[in-house]
Amino acid sequence: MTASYGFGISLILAIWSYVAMIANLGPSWLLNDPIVSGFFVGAVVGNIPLGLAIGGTLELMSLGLWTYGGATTPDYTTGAIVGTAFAALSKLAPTEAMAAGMLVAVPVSLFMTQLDIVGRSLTTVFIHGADRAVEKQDDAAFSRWHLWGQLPWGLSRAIPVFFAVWLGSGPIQSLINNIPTWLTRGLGTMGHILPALGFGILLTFLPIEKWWSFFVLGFVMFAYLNVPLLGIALAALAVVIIYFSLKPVEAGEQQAEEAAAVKVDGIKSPVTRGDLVNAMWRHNLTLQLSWNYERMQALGYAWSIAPILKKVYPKKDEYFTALKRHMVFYNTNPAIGSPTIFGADCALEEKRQPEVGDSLKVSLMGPFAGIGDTVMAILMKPIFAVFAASLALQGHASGAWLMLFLGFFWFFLTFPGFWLGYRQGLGLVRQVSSGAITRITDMASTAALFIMGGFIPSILAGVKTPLEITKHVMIEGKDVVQSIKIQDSFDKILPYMLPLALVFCVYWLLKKKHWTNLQVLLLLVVAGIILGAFKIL
Amino acid sequence: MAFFLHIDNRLIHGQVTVTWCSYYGAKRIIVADDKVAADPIQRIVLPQAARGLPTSVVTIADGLKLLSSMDPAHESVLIIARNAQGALALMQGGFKPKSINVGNQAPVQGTKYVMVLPWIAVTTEDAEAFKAIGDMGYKITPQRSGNDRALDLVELLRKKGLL
Repeated sequence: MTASYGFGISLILAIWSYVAMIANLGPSWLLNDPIVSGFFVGAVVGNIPLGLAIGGTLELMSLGLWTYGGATTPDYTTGAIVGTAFAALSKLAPTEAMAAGMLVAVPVSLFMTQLDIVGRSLTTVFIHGADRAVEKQDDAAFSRWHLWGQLPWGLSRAIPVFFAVWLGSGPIQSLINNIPTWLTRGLGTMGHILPALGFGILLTFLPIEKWWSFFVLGFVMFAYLNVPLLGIALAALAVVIIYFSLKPVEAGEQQAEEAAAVKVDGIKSPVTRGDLVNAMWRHNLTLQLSWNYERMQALGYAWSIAPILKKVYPKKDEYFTALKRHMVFYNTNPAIGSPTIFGADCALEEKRQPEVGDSLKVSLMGPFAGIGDTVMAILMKPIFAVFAASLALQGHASGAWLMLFLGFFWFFLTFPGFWLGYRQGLGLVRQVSSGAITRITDMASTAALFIMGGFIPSILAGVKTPLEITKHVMIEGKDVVQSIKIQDSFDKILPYMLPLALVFCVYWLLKKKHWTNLQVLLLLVVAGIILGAFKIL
Repeated sequence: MAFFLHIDNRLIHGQVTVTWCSYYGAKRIIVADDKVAADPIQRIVLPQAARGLPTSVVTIADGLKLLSSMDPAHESVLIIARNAQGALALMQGGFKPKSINVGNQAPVQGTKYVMVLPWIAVTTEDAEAFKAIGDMGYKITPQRSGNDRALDLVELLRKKGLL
């Protein structure tokens, strides 16, 4: 008899996938991180190291992925949940179970991309509902449309997870338990080379052509000086700060003057601190709950600023007119970016400067998305992810705690971010035009390049060839068989030559040949299985 | 080296800087739109979103002047129009891009629009403008990033009954 999961476990995993999705969508918590989800599922099904290993591998594959402007990416969270659950049922040895888990997780992640698109399309219903509620001046319905906007997001994960685990776990077992050895070996190699995809994607977002020197520094520190990863990260921080403090500031003095000329007069405000705190919590917890393709974060923004508008415009007609004004396209980084814009807009709404506020919103969402996405997706997340994945792959649960901490840290930043914006108000324009954003993103990208120079060889150290060349040589008249390890010759030319070649090959395919991420993923999967099966890698 | 036209109501945004500039290898951005150029805040702040790429925010007329002073054989430039009408005005002014892509068109309040793709809202006026551009012999793609399929927008508009 093959093992399978009952209703209860299936339901718990489904609820987790719902909660993980929504906790990320709303307050940016990283419950949906593959390592965290793998850890949770591992704990539920009684095999934590397996969950951590599958989560860790998926984490590295998705290193450079970020949903820029709401683009869809493979759903590695669901992959980690279903992959861990299925593989844990088998009676396989850890390495084989891990390979089996990846065999399930990768196709599931890709398939879920399609369901994500379906889920996201349904979200449009909610913003249209909210439009009608504003027309009818029905505040309660307006709130409901926003808060229930989370349903398509959560359910598009929870329902497939529930049925996959409940009905699929049994039938899949017979497949998993009969994986031939060559395929297990191939899948192992696949697991070793897949992180190259994550690193390759990340490099396409970094200014490597301009600042390759930082990458070389990181590489030398790891490959020749054997500095541990944390040491490399600290050195990167120091070098980048030194570099930018020596570099002259290209000041936008004249522009700053121009910005200062846009004046806002002080008006006695009916808005209390309680209203501001209410608006801030609404924004920081739920901005993206009703995210939709059509106007993205618009509904969440309107719902969040409603308490301010209600005080500024006590007349019902005026209030709903103001609310409608905010039901327009809005999208920026929800954690580092939006809280500050929102804070400044609250200050301007309070001073009855709606036109200035609207213009501020529209013009700042681009720059702030730039700064937030760079700091979060290109610098912080990859660094944490590499550390967390290394820990997870060694079976340490601390990998999961590390990612959870990062998510809570981002959430924490939303609060000072809001007050910064509120205090600055229109002054934010002056701050931004001083060139601060370019400076911060430049610093973040150069630090990331430095660090990746060390992290790439470290994480991909397993990409090695076991090939040997044997040849007959005559030594002192005797015929001796000598074997030369090809890897040793590679190491003499350049340490970690294969990992570097692999990552830059991925980079080249993505950037110069314009391959899609999916095409490269499929190539790596097939190449990994074949090279592993034939013991070439 | 060439000029690329990108139609996007978000103007300079993460997808533009991170994805498209690197995809095309663009070294410079020109935002050409009369409404945007008239807003002092947007004019000051938008270039800050360009991650260090030199950026001009100009009216359509000034944009055409700027473009005529540049040589597509020596410079890679991403030109951003806010909507179909703006793009058409640029093209009618003699601007010849190498390719045209629509990144995002959010619905405008108070207009009658159809969602052609989940991220692209089109009114009948927009559809006419897109068709006019198509009639000049261009294929307009509706891609958010290079990972999306390179569909033909005008054909999509026909299918949706907008043309």
